Amino acid sequence: MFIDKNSLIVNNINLGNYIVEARYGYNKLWSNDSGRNLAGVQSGTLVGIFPKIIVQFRKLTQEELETLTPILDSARQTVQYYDPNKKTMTTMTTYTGDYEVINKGIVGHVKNEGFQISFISTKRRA
Amino acid sequence: MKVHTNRFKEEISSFGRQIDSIITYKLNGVTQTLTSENLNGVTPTYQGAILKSVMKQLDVDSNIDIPIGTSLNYKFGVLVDGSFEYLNFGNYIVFSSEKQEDTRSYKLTCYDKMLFSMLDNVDLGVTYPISVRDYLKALCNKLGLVFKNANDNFVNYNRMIKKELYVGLEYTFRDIFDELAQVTASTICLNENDEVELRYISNTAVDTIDEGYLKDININFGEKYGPINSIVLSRSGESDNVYLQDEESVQANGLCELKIVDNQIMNWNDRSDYLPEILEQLDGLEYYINDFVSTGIAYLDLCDRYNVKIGDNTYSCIMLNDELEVTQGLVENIHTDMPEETKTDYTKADKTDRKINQTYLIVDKQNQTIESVVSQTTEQNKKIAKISQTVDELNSKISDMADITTSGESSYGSINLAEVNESEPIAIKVHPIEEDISYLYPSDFLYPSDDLYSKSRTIRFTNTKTNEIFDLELPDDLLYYDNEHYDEFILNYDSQTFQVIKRVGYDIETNKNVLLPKEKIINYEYVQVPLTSGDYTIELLGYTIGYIYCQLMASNIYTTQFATKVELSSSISQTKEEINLEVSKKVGKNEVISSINLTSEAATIQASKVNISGVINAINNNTSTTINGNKITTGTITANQVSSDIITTTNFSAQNINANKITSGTLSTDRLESKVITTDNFSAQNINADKITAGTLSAANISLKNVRLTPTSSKIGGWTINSNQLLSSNSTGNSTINANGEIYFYPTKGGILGLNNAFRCKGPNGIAIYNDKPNYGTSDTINAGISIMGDSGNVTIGNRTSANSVNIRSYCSESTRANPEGRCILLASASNTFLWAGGQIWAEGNNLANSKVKTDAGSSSSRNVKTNFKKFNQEKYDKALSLLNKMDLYDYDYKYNIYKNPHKYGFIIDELEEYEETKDFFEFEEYNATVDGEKIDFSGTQKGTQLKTKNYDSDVLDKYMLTCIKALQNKIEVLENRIKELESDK
Repeated sequence: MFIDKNSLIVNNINLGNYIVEARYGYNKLWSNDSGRNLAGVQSGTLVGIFPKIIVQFRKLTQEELETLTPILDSARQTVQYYDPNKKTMTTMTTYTGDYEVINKGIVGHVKNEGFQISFISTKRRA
Repeated sequence: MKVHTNRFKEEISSFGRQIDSIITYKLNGVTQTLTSENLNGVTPTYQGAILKSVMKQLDVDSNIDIPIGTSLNYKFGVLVDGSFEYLNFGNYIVFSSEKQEDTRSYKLTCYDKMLFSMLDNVDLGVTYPISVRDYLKALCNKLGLVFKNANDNFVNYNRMIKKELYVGLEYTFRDIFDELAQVTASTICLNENDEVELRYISNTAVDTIDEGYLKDININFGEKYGPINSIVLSRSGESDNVYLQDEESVQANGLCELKIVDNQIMNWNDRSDYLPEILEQLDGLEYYINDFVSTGIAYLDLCDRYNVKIGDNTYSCIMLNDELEVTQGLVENIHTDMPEETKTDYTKADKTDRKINQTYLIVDKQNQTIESVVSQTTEQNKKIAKISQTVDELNSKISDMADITTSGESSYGSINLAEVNESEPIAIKVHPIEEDISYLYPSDFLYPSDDLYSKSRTIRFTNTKTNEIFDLELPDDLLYYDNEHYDEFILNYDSQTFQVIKRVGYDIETNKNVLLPKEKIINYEYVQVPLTSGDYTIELLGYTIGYIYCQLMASNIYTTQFATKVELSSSISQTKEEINLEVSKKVGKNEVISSINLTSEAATIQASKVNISGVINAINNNTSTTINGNKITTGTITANQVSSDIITTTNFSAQNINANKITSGTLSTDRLESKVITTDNFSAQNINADKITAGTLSAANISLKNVRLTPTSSKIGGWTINSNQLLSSNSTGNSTINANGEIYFYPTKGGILGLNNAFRCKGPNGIAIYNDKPNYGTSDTINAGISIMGDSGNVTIGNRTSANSVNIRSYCSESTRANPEGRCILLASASNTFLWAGGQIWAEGNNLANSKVKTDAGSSSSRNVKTNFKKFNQEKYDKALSLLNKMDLYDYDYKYNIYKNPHKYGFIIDELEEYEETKDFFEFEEYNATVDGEKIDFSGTQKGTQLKTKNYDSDVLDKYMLTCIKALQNKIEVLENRIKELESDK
């Protein structure tokens, strides 16, 4: 969660300056052994909770976009965020989902629209 | 069961459990840890069975390779209350590594350290016999492993392995572990500490799981195995079985057998000894066959008994096969199979190989031998048929041995044995039943009652025929603890054993018998019990309860005919080189053997008698000999001796004929050898014989060379050869040469002993020449020396040649009796030496010239040969004259035949000895003589009256007389001077 403007840092870049919204998801990953046992009770192995942070960027300038896209395009990122469960800043390695940068007003003044991207933890939350 | 908490058990079965895996290992000395992030999957698995060794396996799908041979540890964890609780799955060795290119990961196959046993076995370097426990320990040491049960008393732990069983067999150490698992009725595996452990199945469940642990697919429970109630040891292609059963269980539950096949340790005829403990361990073992998939239990371990509760049903199961698949999730596959079903034909099996009547087949794979035995033993006979087979040899033997003992046993302290031979007891065993066999030891507070009697420790042998009694005293008390533990007395004549096995002791404080911690054998000096022949009652005196076994020599057909036992045996042995057939009979120490030996070169028959019925043809080198009944047809008979009453042949040719009698017309031979040839007329050109015995031997010429003639009475050329005598006698005289050394020539005209050269007569002990034999017969002793003695006529020693002299020299020593004064030539008057002057020397003159007897003056009176001079004084002269004055002279006659004229004159020595002055001038010498009539002898050899005589040296008399003359001269001078004085006074 965001507790201040420095609550989300990706590859040492404080995203608080670029985003307008951040959603924090704590997704459970179940093993394929999951199912019901002979007693009819659900049975399964929780592989782990894999945090997922979805951020909504504001409209970015060309210069800002040129700063961020190398990070977004890389396979892994190091993300620091405030974990309310642990009540501390937590570091995790993430990969990102696909993102799209939309440009409108091609003729005349070109400006980038805001876009959305997900940072998903590669490891279960310890 | 692996160590875990209840929370672990709760969590692993809960929905949403979280699991983890950790693999640690060392690489170049640095501990490495692989976590779930690098592990795609880990699968520990094992496939076990009772009476087997188990090697656990670990399959790892890892993103990181681990070198082959690396030892790693695997732990499986479940998140419990916020942290992982791990189960230790033990250590494994990376056996193989395979890279999976599609996933860029490594598939590692690992095994626990049982892997070390997957090698061909080698000598463990142990000393046999060795106990099963020590053998297991040695085996583990050999593999670098620790034996967890090294100090435990497990099944058959103390049974002895008598010899090396595996070296040379294509057995791995793992195979040996398998067989040891059978021996110990266990499952052998490694625990999480890499220790080799014998694992036994408990009767109670360690855990109960319910449906919550089970997947909803592939859940199969049903058939129940067991209860095991029969153990079968099988060998020889399962044809030779011994077994032990729980009869009650078989009755109640039906037969469920567990068969152990071809176990090398339990392959011998003591194998039935292993059965009780194996059956005790496995008796009643039962479990449900199952095959199910679990959501994960993980903590159950090999051989754990656990219950599975499904609905109202509870299945008791054994964890024998397990596969735990750890990936993102967890699945555990468990199954326990039905052991391979065996069914033994018990009608052809037995409970022991040691039964009196045995039938068994032993396949010794190590030595590649097969031995089969069928034996039957009765009270007095033991029959054995035995076949042994190796790669090179096939032996069969049938034997029949007669035992000559009789025996009996009783639990009531008394037995009767009939027709016992005179002997000592062969074997005795005694042990108490219910009460001690001991003396009665009264306590301090015991007041004996009237019917209290002292117990004994006596075995009494009563000959009921002769009423003789022989007592044998037990050397120690035999105490009783229970039916299985008691002291035991053992006597064995063969081994001269006389011992007590102490297993029970007495506790003074509790006044009770107690088990000794260790059996103790006390040996005593062997005591003989010389039994006479008869029927016997053997009893433990004073005991109506007590075990007694006694074996005595039996009186039967064997012992009445033979000293010991009778053994009959026949054997056939076959190798690629030969076949041997042998039949033997041994009666006591005497053995008779008949045998036939066949090799490629020869057939040999050895027997005291060989009987062949039919016509015998012996064919060799195109020749043959036929023996048909009493007729032999052959080419040549070569024999050292042919004995026959009659030999009829047209042409008889022989090198030697030894016969008592040969009757022949003409006997032509190059050589005829015979001890005796008796013939009326013997004609021969030459006779070569060791001995010729004949009445008259007439021959023109007899040539003897290197021949010794030993006739007893023969005559050659007028000389009669008698035994030890050569004699010739005719009218001219007779001559004799005797073996005793006497040679006599008695010619009528005198004989001549002539030699044409110097005559030498050698007589080391004396030579005598005499013309009669008054004193010199062969029986007479003569002094060493040369004696020439004439009995009649003169004895003349002369020399006819004027230029040569006759020398008589004496070199005799001064000490000889014949000449006490020194060297001399003795002239004696007779055969004695009574007087030196008795002899005379006659010097015969030549015509007018006188002859003289001269003595050599020598230098005996020279001053230079004398010393201590002392001139005679007047006193000395006066003594001489005084003696002269006292001396009386007599005429007398000699009593004995000493002189031809016995009348002599002179003084008497006895008188002179009375005068003081005598000793200054005379010395007398005393002689012992023997007197016989008129004969007197001084040689000491004649018998007669002893007589002591004395004589003197005449030379001394001369000097005495010279002294007297000198004294008289002095006196004369005095007188003359006196006369002159008197005349001058006038």
